[in-house]
Amino acid sequence: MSESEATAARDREFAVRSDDIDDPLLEVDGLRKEFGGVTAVDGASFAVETGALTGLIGPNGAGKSTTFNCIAGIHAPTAGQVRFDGADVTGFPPYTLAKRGLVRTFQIARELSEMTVLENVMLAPPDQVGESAFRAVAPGLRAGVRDDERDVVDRAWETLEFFEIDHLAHENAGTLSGGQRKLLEMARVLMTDPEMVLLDEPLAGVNPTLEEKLLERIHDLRADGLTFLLVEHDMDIIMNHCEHIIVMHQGAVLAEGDAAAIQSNEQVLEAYLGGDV
Amino acid sequence: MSEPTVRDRLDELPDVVLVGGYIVAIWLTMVVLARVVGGSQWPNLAAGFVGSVTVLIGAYAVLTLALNLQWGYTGLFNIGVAGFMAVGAYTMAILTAPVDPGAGGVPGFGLPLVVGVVGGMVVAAVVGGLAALPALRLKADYLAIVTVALSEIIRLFVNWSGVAEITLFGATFGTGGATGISFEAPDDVVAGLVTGVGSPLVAAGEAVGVSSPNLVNIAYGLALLAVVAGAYWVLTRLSNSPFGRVLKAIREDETVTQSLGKDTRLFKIKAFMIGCALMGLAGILFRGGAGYISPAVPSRHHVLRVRGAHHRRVWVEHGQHPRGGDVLGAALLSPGADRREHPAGWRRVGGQHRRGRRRTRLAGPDALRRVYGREHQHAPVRPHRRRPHLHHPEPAQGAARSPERTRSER
Repeated sequence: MSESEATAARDREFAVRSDDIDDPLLEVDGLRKEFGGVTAVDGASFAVETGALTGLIGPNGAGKSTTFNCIAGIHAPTAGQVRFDGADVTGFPPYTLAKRGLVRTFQIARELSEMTVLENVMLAPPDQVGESAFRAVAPGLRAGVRDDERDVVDRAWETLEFFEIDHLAHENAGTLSGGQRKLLEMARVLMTDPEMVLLDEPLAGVNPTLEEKLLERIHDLRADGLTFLLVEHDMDIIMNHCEHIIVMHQGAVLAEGDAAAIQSNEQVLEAYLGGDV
Repeated sequence: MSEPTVRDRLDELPDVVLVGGYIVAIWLTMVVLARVVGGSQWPNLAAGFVGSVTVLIGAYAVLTLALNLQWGYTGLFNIGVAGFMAVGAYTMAILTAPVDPGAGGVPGFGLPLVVGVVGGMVVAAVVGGLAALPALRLKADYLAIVTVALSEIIRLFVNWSGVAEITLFGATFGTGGATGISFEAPDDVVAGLVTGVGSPLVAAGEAVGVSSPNLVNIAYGLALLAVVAGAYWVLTRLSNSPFGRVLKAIREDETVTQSLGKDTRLFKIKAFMIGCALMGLAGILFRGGAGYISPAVPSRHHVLRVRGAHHRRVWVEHGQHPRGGDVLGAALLSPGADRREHPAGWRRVGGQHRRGRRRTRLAGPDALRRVYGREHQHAPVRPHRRRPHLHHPEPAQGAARSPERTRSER
């Protein structure tokens, strides 16, 4: 299956092939996911270059979200392999992936609504000393917990300032607007010290000003060496901001390449864009 | 907003003041009541009232704090509270019962009281942990059903004649089956202290007509309040820590918490075990006043379960995540609520001490049904501090949503 996929990809006139990627951080190989009789993902294979902003697009039902969920450990794939940083992480639970540096945001922002914005962000840093129930309570052992907590608070404030939501720090996250929630999700995810972030439609329902702000932040972070895989429906954003684009169709990868290559790819135009960009 | 209401002003008070004030108010009410109905014996009657109600407050507050950790903070809907209380109480009984109990008694290990208490909590936590392993894959109502089933299994187990008296590795012990176990209860220790070190106090008490058993009861109640303060302190520290933060996050959205790198199963099991240890302690404290545990106790525990549900309802109205103080307030309300639910309640406060009302009240399934039924005939007590952002319906509907509902349909 993956062999024929690879051949098909090679045959595609304008497509840039996955093997053009020198230093892949995430590799998906022959990923397959069936729900009962429905095959949502049917042998998708692609790679994401370290430090790049990669876009994943495709018509509704192309299998983007399922692919995403398989990578992020929400679904266990029926077949195929996911490699992160060279290691096989297929079917690993989300918390293990997060500890390895692969985190995700959600399509519909899932803020922890009854916790404050600051608490939301402070939750994320990995391996906090005070997460041990015993150390959190035992009288003599609290010094370490306090020091750690102080660092976490400082970092939390920095991150909130970076996303310009520090004025909301003590509000319940449930009171934020849609756009602010998206910012909060990004802030939270960053606090886990990730190497790679999977963004599931981070700009859906966000006003243009905020959208600009979010994209700016994403570019800033990329400059710091973070890798992003972005699922998005807004073509302009994908074409203008992603240096590598993966197009999925009917559960498999239809084409890969930069914006120019994708825009002039006949198959993509036919399958996805309806012949007109 | 217009000018502050009484409730607003109460809300501004620190938890300790609020709770302390409430307890003192209950005591004063008891004393006044004793003065009205007691005739010349009223000081002794007042002491009996105060002692009994304080013991109830203490044990319920520990229970409610435990539930707050499990359900309020972590969102684990445990309604098998009675089972974990029984595990604590029985473990303590088996550990501390005398090795040579004399005719008809069940031998135990004769260990000191402290070992019994710690052992009871540890075993309750372990049973909770074992139950949690498979059960925590379930959510909300389904977890609740499993916990109820577990408490029923525990009840049937301690009732089973097969474990009434067994010999393992040369040691003979058991649950006593149908006859129960006698052991040295925590309140015997308190009694020893009061009649020993506190003998001047006893003399003073008797001078105004207060009997020494009533003084012991009060002392035991105060000791329980100290335990409550300790549990409150531990849980406050816990819930204000990063550990507590993860628990809250699990309650809000477990998938998100996992996506942020937290192994939520581990946190849930830990929270469940800590809560179960506290429930075990509450079981021990409840039984502490008798020094005897028997198959009647599990059925009593059914009542505790009903009451537990009652607390929870009080506390659901607060939102699922009140601060500890809110919960404590709710717990403290419940003895009062209990009185209000039973028309003869005020007499029962004293009656409990004099006649052992628990025994008379719970004969069998019919009694149970009566209690269940009563739960629904009376609206639950108003919460002490109501939050504006309630997700839950008003009391009457809250009662309709209660899991015990189906059992009360007659």
